[in-house]
Amino acid sequence: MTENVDRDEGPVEQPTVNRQDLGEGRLDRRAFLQRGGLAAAGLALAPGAATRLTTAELARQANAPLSNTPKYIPANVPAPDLKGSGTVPAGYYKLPANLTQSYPAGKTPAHGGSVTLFEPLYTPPPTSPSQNQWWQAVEKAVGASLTPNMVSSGSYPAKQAAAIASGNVGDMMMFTTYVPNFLQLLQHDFENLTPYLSGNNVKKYPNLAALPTTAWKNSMINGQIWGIPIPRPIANTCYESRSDFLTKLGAKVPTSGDEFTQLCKELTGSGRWALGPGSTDGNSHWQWDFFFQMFGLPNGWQVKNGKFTSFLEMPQAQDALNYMVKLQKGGYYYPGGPVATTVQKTLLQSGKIWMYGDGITGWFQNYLNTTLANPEGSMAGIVPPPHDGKKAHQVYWNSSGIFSNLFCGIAKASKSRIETLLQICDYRAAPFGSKEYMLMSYGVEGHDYTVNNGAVTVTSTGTNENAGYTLNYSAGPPYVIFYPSQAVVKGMYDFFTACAPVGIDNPQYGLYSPTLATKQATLQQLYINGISDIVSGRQPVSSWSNIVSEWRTQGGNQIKKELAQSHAKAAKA
Amino acid sequence: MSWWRRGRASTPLWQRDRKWWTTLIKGVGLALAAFLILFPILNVVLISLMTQRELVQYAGGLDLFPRHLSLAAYQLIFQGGIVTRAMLVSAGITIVGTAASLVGSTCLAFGLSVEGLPFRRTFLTIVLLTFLFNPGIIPLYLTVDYTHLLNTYASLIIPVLLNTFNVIVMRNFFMSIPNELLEAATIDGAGYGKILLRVVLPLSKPILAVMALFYAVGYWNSFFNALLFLSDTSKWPIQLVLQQYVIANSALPQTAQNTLEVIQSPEQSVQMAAVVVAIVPILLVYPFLQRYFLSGVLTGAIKG
Repeated sequence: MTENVDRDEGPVEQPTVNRQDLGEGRLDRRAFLQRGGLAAAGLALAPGAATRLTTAELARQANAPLSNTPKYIPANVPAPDLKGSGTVPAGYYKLPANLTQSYPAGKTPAHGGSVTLFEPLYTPPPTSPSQNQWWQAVEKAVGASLTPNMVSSGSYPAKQAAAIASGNVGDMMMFTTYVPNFLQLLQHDFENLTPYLSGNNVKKYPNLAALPTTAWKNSMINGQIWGIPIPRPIANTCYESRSDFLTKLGAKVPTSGDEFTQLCKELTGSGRWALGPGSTDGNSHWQWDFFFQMFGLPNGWQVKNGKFTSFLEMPQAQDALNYMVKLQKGGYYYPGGPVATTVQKTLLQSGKIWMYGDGITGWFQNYLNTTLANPEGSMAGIVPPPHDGKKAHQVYWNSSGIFSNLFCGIAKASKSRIETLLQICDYRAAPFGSKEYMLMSYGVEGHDYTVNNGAVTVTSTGTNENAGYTLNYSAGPPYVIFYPSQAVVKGMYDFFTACAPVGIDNPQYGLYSPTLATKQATLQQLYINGISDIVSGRQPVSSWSNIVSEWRTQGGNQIKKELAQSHAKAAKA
Repeated sequence: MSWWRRGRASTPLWQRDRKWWTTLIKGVGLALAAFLILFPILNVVLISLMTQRELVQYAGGLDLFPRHLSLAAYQLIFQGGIVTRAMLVSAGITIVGTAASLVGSTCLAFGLSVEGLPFRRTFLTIVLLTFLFNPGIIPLYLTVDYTHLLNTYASLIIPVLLNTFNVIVMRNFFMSIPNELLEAATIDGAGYGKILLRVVLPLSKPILAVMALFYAVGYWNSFFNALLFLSDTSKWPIQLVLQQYVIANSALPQTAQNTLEVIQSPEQSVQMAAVVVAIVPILLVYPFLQRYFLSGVLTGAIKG
């Protein structure tokens, strides 16, 4: 309950602007329309889908408190080089010499049979199981044959809708976005895991018990556990910058709007620009979220006396837009349009721009390529400075701390089957530094990877076998910072540490608004297009009020109402 | 004689008074158009041959003369066997599918073209109706599921075996064959089967070649059915694998779970190498069928 109140009272972000939402579970307008429509059709066609929850039942669910959150029991992990605390993950420079055993030796989660996980695929597919030693090793360790249904991430929602319609949801299914009538679907096809995992019940699954409480809380729907969350960093959105530019200039990281503008001025010129376009996710035009944070806007919603106000409606939004227009007119933006193309991702790496928002996990690749092009290049994450320079006004929009803001559901089955599948998830969630983690993340030692003085090198066989994907989105270990570069580990740790005291959560997590679930992408597109038009100079800043009114009438008002209702009921519970 | 006046005897009357500068303008225009078409392809090929360092250094731009050509990207994609296998799958689907589609389309088109066959109009209407109304993804998926074709290669062929447009074009071509020929064959004692095999097909090489090309390109390029129906990734055709190579780089860095995923996300040169590998086979087929191409398309299309 306390956690619930904490989350609700803090001014925080909307998942629609959450970078994590825009990465693996990316949502563009077309995909959303296709997905929404298909999913609706899928439900209509699903055998027996007529079983619908009544309003009263839904209302009762909304009442459910978060007292069901699984008890947190930290895992026994090797001592890190950089200690984690709160929302700051631990950092490791080297692979620990003595790996722990996080699943009882000699035991397997399953005893025969096969397991099908329906999940998105973000890499080239693994080689076939018969020629894949890693795959075979995972099957042996888990005690079941694994027949994952890996779906190309770009078309995941379309196939998911078709699979749901035909009842082919497999044993487990990863949700990367809400589907219409989500609660009804869960009720009909998926197991409510609350009796298995709430409170002390999770002790049967020690690795799941070691997942951060935030991950569980943010993945629960109306207080019920409908699936296993896959942890990600809370500070998942990161604006990466070329710190070597500042060193050469003798400049410091800006601490106010004026300093930021001045720095942009100094950095721009001779074929270089201070600011890059928005990232390739296609939703952060002109890096708008950075500047909205500079003006102290809440993370999605501000909740006062149970009333929800969107960050879009707050006067600071116009101030942020005015500031962005000023930066644009100053010529500090890279002149390539509001959003980066895939090719332009290398702008930061080649030194054509100073700052680019690429998500925390883009850091490593950006660093690799930066140092490849220029061995003296270095990178640092930038926490948005407060525009007025007052430290007390600095904010950073926390992410949900879980992949896609949702979870992996387990299809309805007998109690023993559910327990077996949960054991498999427990195995998959083995923490960093354990033998099980190495198998799931890197494969078979000597074949898929080698370890030399604590550095893990993935072989080309490992890259192709890629069999961690057999269970990749069934569960996941708590996030730690471990990259084959000390500079990256330290840089990311420093960024997380800087974000922690100013991070604000999104009050929306754990609350459910049916309108938001269906209109999220349309409404997001509405204001993102507005921001893009204004900063590009196609519309004046004064047009913002029209965009906000449109947002309200197209569903914003309804969402506010639904969230307030959900919030009120949760608070009473 | 000026070079632009060469070949005057064969030049049509209305072109005989060409000025040299009109020829020049046309030449430049066509060269420009050709360059606009070839440039993206050249871009793809060059990137596939560039090293990662050069790619980063030319961020967003294109180095038309890379100093260090490298075949590393091609080595990488052929090393794991995923692309090789997918190429074989695609080749198999294309060959078997094209053959099956040609047989099916020819039979249906011939049936629809023979005058006097009972219910010909009804069947034609049914065929044309499928032109207007396509099944949605979910009904299609459910049908494939109910017929137990999910996760089989057949699911990539059977649902798209007959293309209405191709059938209609073939039917029109068959109808352009003089009726007298068919009547003569009938008088000689040939049945419909023999007429098709001995009279119609030998006269239909152009249209068959064009249809073969249409179907083959369709099978080679199709990926959505594979995406929907195949859960076993080792059965994936090249286009689906290619899609993974190309999209992976843009999607991964956002939320990759662990170092492994980041390391694995393919470099741009690998993505482009996969594109080249996927377009080369179908590009090779064109020149062999080109001589049939124009006559086939025109003959089939004009007769209504």
